[in-house]
Amino acid sequence: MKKRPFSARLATAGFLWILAFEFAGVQQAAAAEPGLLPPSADPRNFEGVWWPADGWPPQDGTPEREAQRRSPKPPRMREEETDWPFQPDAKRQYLKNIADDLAGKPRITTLIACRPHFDLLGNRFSFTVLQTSQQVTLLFEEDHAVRRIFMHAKHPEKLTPSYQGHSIGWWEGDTLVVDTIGFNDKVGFGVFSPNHSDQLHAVERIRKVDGGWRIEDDMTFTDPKTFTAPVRVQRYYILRTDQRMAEFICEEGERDAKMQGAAE
Amino acid sequence: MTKTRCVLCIAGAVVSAVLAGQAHAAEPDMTGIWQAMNPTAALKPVRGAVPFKPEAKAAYAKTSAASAAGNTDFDETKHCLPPGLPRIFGAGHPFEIIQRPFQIAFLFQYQSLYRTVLMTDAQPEVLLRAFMGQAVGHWEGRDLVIDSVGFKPNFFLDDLGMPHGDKLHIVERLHLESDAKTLVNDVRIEDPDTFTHSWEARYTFTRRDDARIQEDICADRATVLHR
Repeated sequence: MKKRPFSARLATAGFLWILAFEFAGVQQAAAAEPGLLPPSADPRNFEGVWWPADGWPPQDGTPEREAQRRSPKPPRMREEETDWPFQPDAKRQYLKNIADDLAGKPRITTLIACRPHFDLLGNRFSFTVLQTSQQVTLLFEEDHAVRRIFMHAKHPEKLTPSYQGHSIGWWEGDTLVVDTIGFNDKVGFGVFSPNHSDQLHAVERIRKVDGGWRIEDDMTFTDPKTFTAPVRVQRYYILRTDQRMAEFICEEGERDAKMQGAAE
Repeated sequence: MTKTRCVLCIAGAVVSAVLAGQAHAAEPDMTGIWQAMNPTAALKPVRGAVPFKPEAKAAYAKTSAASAAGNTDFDETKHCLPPGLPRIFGAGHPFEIIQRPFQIAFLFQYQSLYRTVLMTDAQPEVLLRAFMGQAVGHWEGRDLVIDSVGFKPNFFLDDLGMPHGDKLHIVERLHLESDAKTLVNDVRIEDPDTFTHSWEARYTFTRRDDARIQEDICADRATVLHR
């Protein structure tokens, strides 16, 4: 039997490879923006630009829009928080925050404006993941917040409390488990929830689903000063191959609030 | 005949794979923490004087004099606006580079700002002007070349208030010295509304693997807060 030329076999292999991708449901984006990535076949590679699954809809007919349609809708933050097992003081503060809001008293003061919150919980904008073997880095568009997850590391014994806390990560199968402590007590989770305490402990289980088009973050928050029991929340993010991140400078809109005199 | 062609194809594929691998391996790894050990308030050209146009020269003289007299009201970084490019490199605070094939990020400790560089040859359309501009990058041998356009007009190129216009174009050429502990950024600045011709400045950074980037939330440093 005469063998077919190499080039013909190469073409056949290429065709089959494309078919395999199509039928596996891992559609390649028609035209990824320069510098952006299509879904990676590696379940441990989260690199790319991600967008909240409950965010503004991507363009109809795109794989991003389809991924959004397949995502469960999270409850609205305020409805979700109502069911949270707050400690009595925290519950009082939560109800007061809602009452203040209904009475027209601004909830977002210059004490909390432009500060990073727990970004993966209530994020409304994109974030980029950059990944090396030592560090998973999350760059959030909102408030230009940066979160570093140190792989194969330990929490230092002494931590300066911070908005992002100190995150360490490891793999359990293809799930990235992230353990975060060292938070400050200056902000809460959402607009109405009271500030969490510096005893907040967040454990996240992050994994890719849907052929790499979505990631799921299964979060558990423990904070004995704020909650009587652990709080578990799930959020989904969809991969954006069609959208670059923009520069987001919160303070530019807050200049009238006179955040003056910030020293070097 | 077919067999010979097949062998040649495979040999060709192997050679190109090896060459591609070498090209990739030739890119130095800039990932890590860096710091300018000799921060300077004034941006100075490598050669000669800054080729200001008359109006820009007068504006710079005015803000420089105010700064020397202790009046920095012109400087909106104290209202937590970003210092912009290239001023942020002169600040002397540490920054981290994360180098990936599709994107390179500069994570500055100052104001917890970051800047991303898309690794592609062509500048996409500028949809939104930015303090950091819009940056695309590529490798030329061992040099990382970054092209930035799309800057906002309301920031300064240095601490003393060096002005610029919306045609500002910055081309950076970064290379690692042979010790891999020194990073040099040669910055070419073009802006036909501000300068008579393009000019170059140089920033030198030292590797600081011993340092850790701290969270710096500018709004918490503000001393006048209105509730």
